Amino acid sequence: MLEQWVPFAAVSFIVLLSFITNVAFGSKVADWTNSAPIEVNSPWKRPRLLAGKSLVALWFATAFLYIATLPGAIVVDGVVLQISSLPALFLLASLTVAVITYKRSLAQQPNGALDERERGVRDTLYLTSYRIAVSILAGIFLAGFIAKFIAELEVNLDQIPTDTALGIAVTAAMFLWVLPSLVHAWTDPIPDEVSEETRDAWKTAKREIKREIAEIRKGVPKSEKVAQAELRRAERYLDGTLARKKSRKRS
Amino acid sequence: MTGRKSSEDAPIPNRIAELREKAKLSRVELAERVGVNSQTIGYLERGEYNPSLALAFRFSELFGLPVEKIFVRKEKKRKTS
Repeated sequence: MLEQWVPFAAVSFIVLLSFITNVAFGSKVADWTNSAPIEVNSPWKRPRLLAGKSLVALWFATAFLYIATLPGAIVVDGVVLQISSLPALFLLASLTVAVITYKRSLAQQPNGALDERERGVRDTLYLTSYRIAVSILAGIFLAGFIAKFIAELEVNLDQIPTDTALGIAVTAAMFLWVLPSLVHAWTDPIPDEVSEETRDAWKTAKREIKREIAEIRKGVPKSEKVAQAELRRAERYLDGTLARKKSRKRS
Repeated sequence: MTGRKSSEDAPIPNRIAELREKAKLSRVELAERVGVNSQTIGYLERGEYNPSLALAFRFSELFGLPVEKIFVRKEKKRKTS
């Protein structure tokens, strides 16, 4: 009994969460995510650690694990399989949330929360997803046709237990829902914008440090030779780094 | 899923990075001023995305230059010494 209601509860929770974050409070959530300090690199740690492709691979592995552990799918020990499908479902639900929130949930955001480039990317994701979904459906029908009329196999869907069919239906629904996000996670190149931002921040910081050193030097009397020498060394260090960069650019 | 997809969408070279440096603006600051995500500025600067006309005019207003001074149809030949 519990086995039947848990998938519904999990999916309902995710749908409700999606509604709250995307529709009801969509703009507020988008503002919050967009205002994250990109220079500090913190919002990008998760996507970079859990890179898109591995996230997608993990999602599919968990989906297959969940289907494989459904009651009736593997007839080895009914009790063990029934229990083992629950953690797989929770893992799948967690990964679904992780996929959906990939890169500020770009694939799930309304128009108002995206700029023109992001809107274009999102629309392309949905077009690709539609093509994938149609191809999968066509593949299933083709496989069924070949099995029934060419290979002349016995195709009897009534033999699939209700719990298993329900689990497969839930997984399919989840798959269709997260498909644009899966496509996004798989195709996203994770550009090195963060390092560029960091380089910009480093340049600014270097300018600030040099300005500070110049100010300090003004305040230090020339008789304080040790202090003056230390400050000069610091300046030379900063200039030297810049000089090396320039010579590398020239070559 | 970058801005560049086919030869039809060939990138239009622009001077956004240069003008941003001159204006002493960070990508985030520039993005806020023209109303896009800072990532989009990165795509524009790398020539991986061609902006809409509306966005091009926002850059034009911000930098105080005509659109054709910011976006060029053909890449200028590099000087060879």
